[in-house]
Formats: sequence, structure tokens, C-alpha cells
Amino acid sequence: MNLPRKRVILSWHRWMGFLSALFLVVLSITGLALNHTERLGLDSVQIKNSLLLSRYGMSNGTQIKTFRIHRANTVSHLGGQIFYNAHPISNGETPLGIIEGERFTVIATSTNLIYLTSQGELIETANHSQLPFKELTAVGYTPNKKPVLITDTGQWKPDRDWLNFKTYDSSYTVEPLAKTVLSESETDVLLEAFQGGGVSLYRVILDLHSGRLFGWGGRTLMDLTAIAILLLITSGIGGWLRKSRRPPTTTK
Amino acid sequence: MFPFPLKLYYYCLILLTAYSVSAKEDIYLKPDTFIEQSFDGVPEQKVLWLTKDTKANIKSVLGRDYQGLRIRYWQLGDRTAWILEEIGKVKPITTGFLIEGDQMLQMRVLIYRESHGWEVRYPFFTDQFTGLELENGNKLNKKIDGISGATLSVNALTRLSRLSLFLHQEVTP
Repeated sequence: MNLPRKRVILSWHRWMGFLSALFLVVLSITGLALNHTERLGLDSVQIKNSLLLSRYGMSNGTQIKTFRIHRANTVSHLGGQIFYNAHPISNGETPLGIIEGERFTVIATSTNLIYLTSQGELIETANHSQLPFKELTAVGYTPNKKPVLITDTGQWKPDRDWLNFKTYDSSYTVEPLAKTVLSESETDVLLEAFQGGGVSLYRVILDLHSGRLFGWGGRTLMDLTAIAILLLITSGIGGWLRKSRRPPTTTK
Repeated sequence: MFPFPLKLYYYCLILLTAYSVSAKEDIYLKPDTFIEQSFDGVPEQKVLWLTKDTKANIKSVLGRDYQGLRIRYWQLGDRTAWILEEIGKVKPITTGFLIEGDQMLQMRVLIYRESHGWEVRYPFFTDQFTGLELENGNKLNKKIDGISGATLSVNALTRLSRLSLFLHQEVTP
């Protein structure tokens, strides 16, 4: 082996050692903690830090969109979930229309129709497999105040049970859904329902260990660290073997 | 700075690309196509409204409360088709069931969203559901063989098959 190549390997060995050291420390500490989960009680510690919760998709109150329903009640959208007051009723996008009919109320989102009783109990969630359209863009009303769904496949008028839909080509008006604001206490109740008890410390340490806490990039970094450690071991043993095979220098 | 060999760069690139492949929604058969293929004529779309008693029975069949007060189905004569969803591990599996005379004619996995367990869509598994009936105590008349690595999906589909047979009995007295 010529000298420059040896130097290259040594340089690689040194840099990989420096770069992977920090990640190796994180891996070791979190690994030790995970190995003693029960003794340390990691499962029983709940974290409610807003920055950390946002990493888990548990958004804070600023993203709540609320609309009035059944006079004194509310429909809120938060983190891909729809709530009737603080009770989760379905997954879905932000409501585009709320139609309060004689028999039931329909919350229309871009992909779903959510049917509720007048007490806010879920009747059914209909998605594109049960509807004549894939995407709803707005909810309009005919001149005699009947609802019209404006969709990617045209305008549709529902029957009394909202089971079958007929195409509608006449005039309609679109009324934007008026937003309302929850009080501080209502927001807290909704956040409590959405976030539950928070995230356990065990979950956070496990995700820190695997790098998942920082998403796809963090997981890849941890993978690269693992590969770097394998390369360090290989180059370290290789260097040691080369040195040990070298004939001892004799002094005259 | 230290040199960065081109080969190692490629290996890293391959590794990153491999991770970008994630689970997605696989549509094996569109629900409306399943309904079209299931009947010789045009079936009537109906709804079964769930009473308190029916919901209690569903809970014993499904092992959990059913969210909702009505379920859609399609009927032509004594034959009914149901499109039901149940979560395997984290995401719902959309499944079509075709039943006639209290006996299951067909089970098809229509949309699969989980990253593992998609083997449940293959005929070697779905064929087991043909001829299934409900016995006393809402149990199936034969055992469904599992697939290793797809246990949760197999369990979800077995639960749904029991539910569909029960619902068929509810709408065809």
C-alpha cells in the first residue's frame, strides 16, 4: 500500500470519528435509558411541551377552525380531525359547508360528507366510494334554499336521505361558511380532547434513539451514523492489523 | 477537507431513495366496480339504520362499538353487497362482501392502506371466505387460516366477514 492511500484512510477514519461521535453519544444515552424503561418510569412521564407535541402532529390552538352548528354548538377542525363541541366525530378536511336539514345535519368537506343527528351524534361518513364525485369545492343553495354540491364532476343535488344525487344545472348561490372563535376555556377542552395526555417520555426517547423525532432526515442520519461506526471498526481493525504485521525495527 | 469517494456517494443515494418508498393507498378494485360486478341487474342502494339492540349485537360481533347510526348496502333479490372498513394495524382496509341466502359468495379487498399484510388480497386467502356462514353465537362455520406477517389484517377481515353476515341477516328476514 502506498503512503497517500494510507493517509486517505487515516483521514477518513478521523473525520468519520468526529462526525459520528455526537450521534453515538445520543444513541448510547438513549439506548441505556430505553434498556431501563420500567426502572426509570419513562412510560409514566407525559410531556406536553407545545414544540414537541407539534413534532407528533399534535397542533396547538392556533390552527383550530371553528364554525357554529345547531345554534349553540360548534364544529371545529384541528389536525385533520373534526369535533362536535369537544367530541371527535370523524377525520376530514376543513368544513366547506354545514347544511342543517329536517332529518339530519350534513358537514361537507372537500372529500367527505359527514351526517349527524341534531344532537351531534355521527350517523355516517360518506367518502368518494359512495358519492358521485371525488372533490367538493363549495356548497351552494338553489333559489328555494335547497343545497347544491359544487364538485369536480359538476353540480349535484341530494335527495331527502342524502343517499342519491341528481345533477343540477340551474342557478345557485354560494354562501361562505362563517367562522367563529372559541373561548379560552373551550379551546383548552378541545386541545385536551385532541392531545390526550400528551406524549410519553418513553416515546420521545425511542424516537430520539431512532432519529424519527426529526422525521425522515433524522432517521437517515442515524442510519448513516450506524454505517459510519461499522466503517470505523473496519478501518480501525485494518490499521491495527497492518501495524501488528510490520516487522519490528531493530536498532544497531 | 477529506475526500468523498464517488462510490460512497452512490451508496448513500441508494439508501436515501430506499427510504423515500413509503406506504400508500393501493386500490385493487374500485368500490363501484365491485358493486357492478356483483349483480346481474342494477341493485338498489339502501341503508340499514342501527337501533340500540343492533348496535349492541354489532359490538359483540365486531368486538368494539360501531361508530355511526346507519350502514349502506346494495340489494337485488336475496343478494346483498356490503362495503365495510376496519383498521388492520393503523389504517382502514376497505373490503367488499357479497352475500346470498345467509352464505358468503365473495370477499374482495378493495383498498389497502397498510404498509404490511397486503397478501390478504390474494385469492389463496380470500377464497377461504366463500361459503362462510354464521353459526349460533355469531361464530363463523369454518376457521380462516392466517398469513404470517399479516395477522392484524387477517383478524380485521375475519371480524368484518362476521359483521357482513350478521348485517345480511338483519336486512333479509
